Amino acid sequence: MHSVKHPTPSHDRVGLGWRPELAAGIFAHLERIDVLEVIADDYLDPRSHGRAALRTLAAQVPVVLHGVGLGLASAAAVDQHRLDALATLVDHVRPESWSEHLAFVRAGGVEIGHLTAPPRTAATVDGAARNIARARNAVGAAPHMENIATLLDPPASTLSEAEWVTAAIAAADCPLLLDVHNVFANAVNHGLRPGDLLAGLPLERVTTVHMAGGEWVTGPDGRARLIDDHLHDVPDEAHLLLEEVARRVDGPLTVILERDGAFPSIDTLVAELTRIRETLQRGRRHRRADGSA
Amino acid sequence: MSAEGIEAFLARLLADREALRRFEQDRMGEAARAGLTTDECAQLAAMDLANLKLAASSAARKRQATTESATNKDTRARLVALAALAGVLVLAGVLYSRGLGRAPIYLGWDESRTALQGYALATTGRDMSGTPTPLFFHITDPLVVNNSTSTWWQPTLFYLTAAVLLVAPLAEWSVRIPNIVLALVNILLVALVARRLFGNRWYGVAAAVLLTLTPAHFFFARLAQDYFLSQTYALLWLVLLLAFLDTGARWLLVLAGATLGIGIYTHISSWIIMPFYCVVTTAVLLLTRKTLSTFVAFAVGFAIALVPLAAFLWGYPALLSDMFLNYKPVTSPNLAERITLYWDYFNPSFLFFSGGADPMWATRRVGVFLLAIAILLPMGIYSVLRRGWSPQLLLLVGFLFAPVPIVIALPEAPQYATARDLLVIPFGVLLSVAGVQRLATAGRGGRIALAVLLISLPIQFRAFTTDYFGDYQRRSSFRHDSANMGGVVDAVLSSVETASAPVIFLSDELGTGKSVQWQFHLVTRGRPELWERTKYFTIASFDRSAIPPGSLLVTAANDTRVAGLIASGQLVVVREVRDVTDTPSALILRRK
Repeated sequence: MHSVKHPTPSHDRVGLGWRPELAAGIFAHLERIDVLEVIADDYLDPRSHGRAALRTLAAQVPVVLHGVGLGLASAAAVDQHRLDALATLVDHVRPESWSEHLAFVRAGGVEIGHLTAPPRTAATVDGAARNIARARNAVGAAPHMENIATLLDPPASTLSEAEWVTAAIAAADCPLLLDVHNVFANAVNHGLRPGDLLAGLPLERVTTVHMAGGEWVTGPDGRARLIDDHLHDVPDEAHLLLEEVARRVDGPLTVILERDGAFPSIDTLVAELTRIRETLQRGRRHRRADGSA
Repeated sequence: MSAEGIEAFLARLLADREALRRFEQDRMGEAARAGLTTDECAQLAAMDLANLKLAASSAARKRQATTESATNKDTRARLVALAALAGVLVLAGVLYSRGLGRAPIYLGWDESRTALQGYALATTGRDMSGTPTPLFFHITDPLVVNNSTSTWWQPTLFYLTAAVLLVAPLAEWSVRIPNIVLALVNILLVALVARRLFGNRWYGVAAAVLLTLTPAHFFFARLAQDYFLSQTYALLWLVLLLAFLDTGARWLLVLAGATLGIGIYTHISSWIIMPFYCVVTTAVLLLTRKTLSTFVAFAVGFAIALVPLAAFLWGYPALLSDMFLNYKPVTSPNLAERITLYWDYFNPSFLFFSGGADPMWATRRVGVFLLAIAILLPMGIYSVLRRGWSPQLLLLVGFLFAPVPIVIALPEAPQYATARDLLVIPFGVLLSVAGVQRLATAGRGGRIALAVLLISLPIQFRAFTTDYFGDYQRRSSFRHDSANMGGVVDAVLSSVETASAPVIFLSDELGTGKSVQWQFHLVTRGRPELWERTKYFTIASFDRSAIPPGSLLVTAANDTRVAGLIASGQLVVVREVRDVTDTPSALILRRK
């Protein structure tokens, strides 16, 4: 029997993506970090020396595992070996929960090495639901599924992003891990208003939120695009979206700050966590005001 | 058409620059060659090429970053920690082996026995009694013909010593090498355990430093006594069990079981400790809900290691009854006395201030551990208890169980017998690493406190070694060899050069094990033939007629009865042997 801890947080929490480069700083500021999100794929190898470390970490701090390599949102079946490896890891670490992406990462024997949006069709909704069900069976708990950033408007799509995400989450009956920077990037890159895209998503399924930053780049056609690279500070627009989520979502939220490189000082990251906490509180105040109005 | 076909085509475009270039040149054609329908080809061809290129380069960067971080960064960090651990091991090697031939000042009687058994095995393939490669060694006084005893010693240290003596000469320093090597192995193993339990290579390095700078570990590593051996097997068992819990590889459990089985052959206390660790292992497997095959794997490993013991018992059934004669369980215990005895081994005075009671086993000026451990250890215990069930709990179990064999199997109830409580060392050190972790993660104040404690370690250890290599050697000399048998042999050799002695008589009241110390020093001085001319005599029933004229007699210097024999003119003093404190330790007499 594989297990996650399944706690039900009673209050909003703010955490940080675990990266080895940040380890010392994280340990020094544990009192200001409610939860750590660890990339599961870094520890799938059972010979990995880091597994013991990860288990120790999970015993000290609430840890959530975040997968990037299963490729659950695909018309093709998920690799059972990868699922088994993840299930073993979850059993070993006993994280609070685990998550993956609404994306595929390989197809036709080719590893993309990156999260890619599948064609937004009923077929991929069914495929995602099947794969997520298999993952739930293997691991013993449903994953929180994250919306991804995509520069490509997936070809052959019959559904909008919001429609497809809503359908996939409903079919899989799992929580939505909402990356607000991905919402922002997809909106600005595809000519949508971020608030409209957010409003179309199933916010009632949201329990966890990702915050990250990206970089504006100019494409070969001379047009600017926002790349969700996790190497830059969280933009104000992401905070506005988070505030809106906090205003609309009823239950407690866990917000994770993701940073994959070009690391600033830990003090800067902790200051960003504080800002996120303030944004959350602002959204909650609006929610209370809405309720009393 | 299948969404699968489109996903596969997209995957190729994003992962293969050449495929992307071909698609750029002929969008419809490239899609059609992938077997997609015309409609799908048209939809793919309508994709924003600039977005596609940006997505492809993003994916390429991601792949490269993933590969680099998985190799370069991890390798670099691992190398730095490995270099630090190697540095600790080198430092420990230098520190532990310094002056091995002169500190302890004399080779104790059981060290001498270890030396002679190892030497006999290395040179003849038999033990001192002539038994070929025995599994257990029957301990007798070699100067007494057909000496009947019920004492058996475990074989491991004898064979390790023999291995060393195959390549090194018999000497004080060479017979102490096996435990020095095991001490270095312990330091490596404790680092591996800490690495697994505390999840950071640097906690492994910290554990290695703490163990290296543990006075009792240093102290007993330099004695050729088998008390030291169990630690290595306990640590190896821990490493293998933790590795199994991490990986699920059942062969690790077979090795863990075999380690405990082989551990039975290290020291008499292992007959209680190793089975207890078996029980602990079984409990861990139950708690972690392992399958039946894992229990079988562990049991098979343990059983295989015990096959030689079973075979030996078949040939020597007296072994068990003799063992129980010497180390029988306390059947009608005075509970209060036993609880007090158990507590004595956790008395802070013993652990952190004065160490053991016997000067052969402690300097009495430092604890089993250094003072910093008095803070780190309780913090570590608190940290482990607060966590509830985790493999770290094994450390507390091992720590608390360490003195149990003394309490339940030694009727004489020896207090503060450090040698019999050595398993408290590795478990205490590892619990202290939990304390290190707690302070290291407790904010700035905690890190400052940790720094102060860590700095105090080498300072106090330096003070300990200064005393150890200095005045302690004088204070402890009488316990290692009250007669200074090396000096006695030198004095006798000097005497026989001037006038031959048909027989050399040793007083049977010189002290425990003096015959083996005598034999050791004869062999190391290249005069083993004098052993054939050595006999015991009893002062109380001295019979001049039984002593051939010219024979030499060795007695304790403080035996007042000798004065009467000298005064009566039966014996004359040839030499007086003095020990390192310049106190008379033995007399060499000659029969007129």
